[in-house]
Amino acid sequence: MSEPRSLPQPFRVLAIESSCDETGAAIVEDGRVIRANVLASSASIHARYGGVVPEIASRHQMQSLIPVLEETLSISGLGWDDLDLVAATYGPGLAGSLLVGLTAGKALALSRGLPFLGVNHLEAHIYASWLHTGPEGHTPADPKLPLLALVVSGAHTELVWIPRHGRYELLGQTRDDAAGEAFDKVARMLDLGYPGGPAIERAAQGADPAGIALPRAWIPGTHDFSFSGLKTHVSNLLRKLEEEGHEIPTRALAAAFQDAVVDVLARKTLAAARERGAREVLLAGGVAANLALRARLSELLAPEGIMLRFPPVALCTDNAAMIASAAYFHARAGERDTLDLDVRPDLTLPFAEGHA
Amino acid sequence: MLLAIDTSTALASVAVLDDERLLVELTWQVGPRHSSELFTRIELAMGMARLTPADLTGIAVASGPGSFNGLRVALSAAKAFAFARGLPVYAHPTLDVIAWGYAGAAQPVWAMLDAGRGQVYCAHYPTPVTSAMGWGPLDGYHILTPEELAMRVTGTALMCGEWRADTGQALASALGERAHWAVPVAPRRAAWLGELARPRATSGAADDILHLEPLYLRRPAVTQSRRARMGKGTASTAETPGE
Ligand SMILES: [Zn+2]
Repeated sequence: MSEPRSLPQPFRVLAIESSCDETGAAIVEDGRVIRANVLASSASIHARYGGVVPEIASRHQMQSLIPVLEETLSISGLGWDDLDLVAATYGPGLAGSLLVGLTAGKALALSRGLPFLGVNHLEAHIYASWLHTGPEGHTPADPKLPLLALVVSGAHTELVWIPRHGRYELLGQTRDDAAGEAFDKVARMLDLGYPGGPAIERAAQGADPAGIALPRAWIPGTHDFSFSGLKTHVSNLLRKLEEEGHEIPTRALAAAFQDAVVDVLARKTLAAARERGAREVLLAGGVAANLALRARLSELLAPEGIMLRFPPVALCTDNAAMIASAAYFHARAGERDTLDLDVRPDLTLPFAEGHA
Repeated sequence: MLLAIDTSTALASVAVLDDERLLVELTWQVGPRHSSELFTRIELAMGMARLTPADLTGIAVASGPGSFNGLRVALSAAKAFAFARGLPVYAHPTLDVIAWGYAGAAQPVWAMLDAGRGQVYCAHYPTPVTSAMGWGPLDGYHILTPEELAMRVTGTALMCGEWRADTGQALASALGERAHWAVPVAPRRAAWLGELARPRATSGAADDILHLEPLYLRRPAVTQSRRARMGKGTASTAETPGE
């Protein structure tokens, strides 16, 4: 992104998010103030299949599209003439799902003569930390760049250095499973259900992991992660317990597993923050909702005087408000997309080469 | 002023019509690029007709069957456009649009689209007919193999739409001289969709955009995949073959 330009104030973005099993729409002012944020989910349907079924998700999104848009406009109390830009997620995600929201966004922009911007869903998770969530009238300070971001979700585990808006330097990433993926797989092994993250967190609450030693992959000399060894270890342990006729200590195992993941994430984040001299660390993505991870990170970062930022739980998981926020900062840099923008199911963060 | 949108297959078409005439029609091989190419074509068509979105009074859309992703694009675009401008939407099944091109035929019309898996989406229409009001198939929409379809054809029939070469051969050998073949360069046109929608614009019978959905005809397939891209457990695909 280039230098900020002057935009009309307040600058209102109507955003649509439909990358996975949710259909969201939101109206956000100046990238920060949420006027409406509506979400329809088909998660309860997918839970029956133990995972998202893409065709079911996109059919549900087709049904939810107009009701969600209608509610968003009605909650905001705003009309079309009050809006300045339309944004929609164009990747990463499921192709059929992305198509519903992106196509709708482009149609809204064309029909109302508004500019359009496609948004990278992963970037938007980072911008969730710019959204104001306190009581009305309370204006918290923006996250301060440069900062270190830990992006953790079902598909991503990345340590990213952000020197300025729009620039992302990849410091480390998972070499196998993403953290959220490991949560899902282990939750399934323990019969805790789906989605795995919240299921394991619930089971681990108040449980004593003592006596269960699980391995941690440190991969010294790098900021990379690995969670597949841990997952395999849990699987072997379960098989052994079953063969020997022992009862499965489900809650203790969930707690030990969560401890192991959180410990690695937090300590490797601290190491990267120290190396870069970071003053702020930003937690982003679905796994950022995990309370144990937040607690462990602040326990490690606070003594070093490093500020930890994370969105409230409802804004950690997929939502359209974060899409609107990311769109605002791109719009401020003068960016616009043409209406031939297509979906990009395999989109990554736009990583820069080398150092700024 | 009616905007007609059809991205049901790898062939797409948009048209702008007024009360009497077709003003512009663009029909092109869109391939899988439904979402990326639709809007530039709509802008072009509207520009050629010297119209802006505010001039439109209704949206017609071909609702399927067809490519699931193509239908998502057409319906999503039609619904969002109509929502933002407070316009009525007139949805017409894609097979109805195809068959309407042959409404004056002397023999009964069968409209077909490739459904993948060795099957066709098809429907059977009574002809000749002159009024677009109430135009629709005799007994609904089907997914049949060419052999099953041949069994249903009694007497002669005019076969129209889009089909694979092996489907055509199977039907030709089963039906022989009883089958007549409509093979124009454009098997489907948004102008025909506009013709179907126009009388409804006069009668005021629009579709409800809150509940409007594509005519998928197939249930969503549930299959497990190895990679959980979105990290929300196992993913699967349920696209129509040839997508
Ligand atoms: Zn997400």
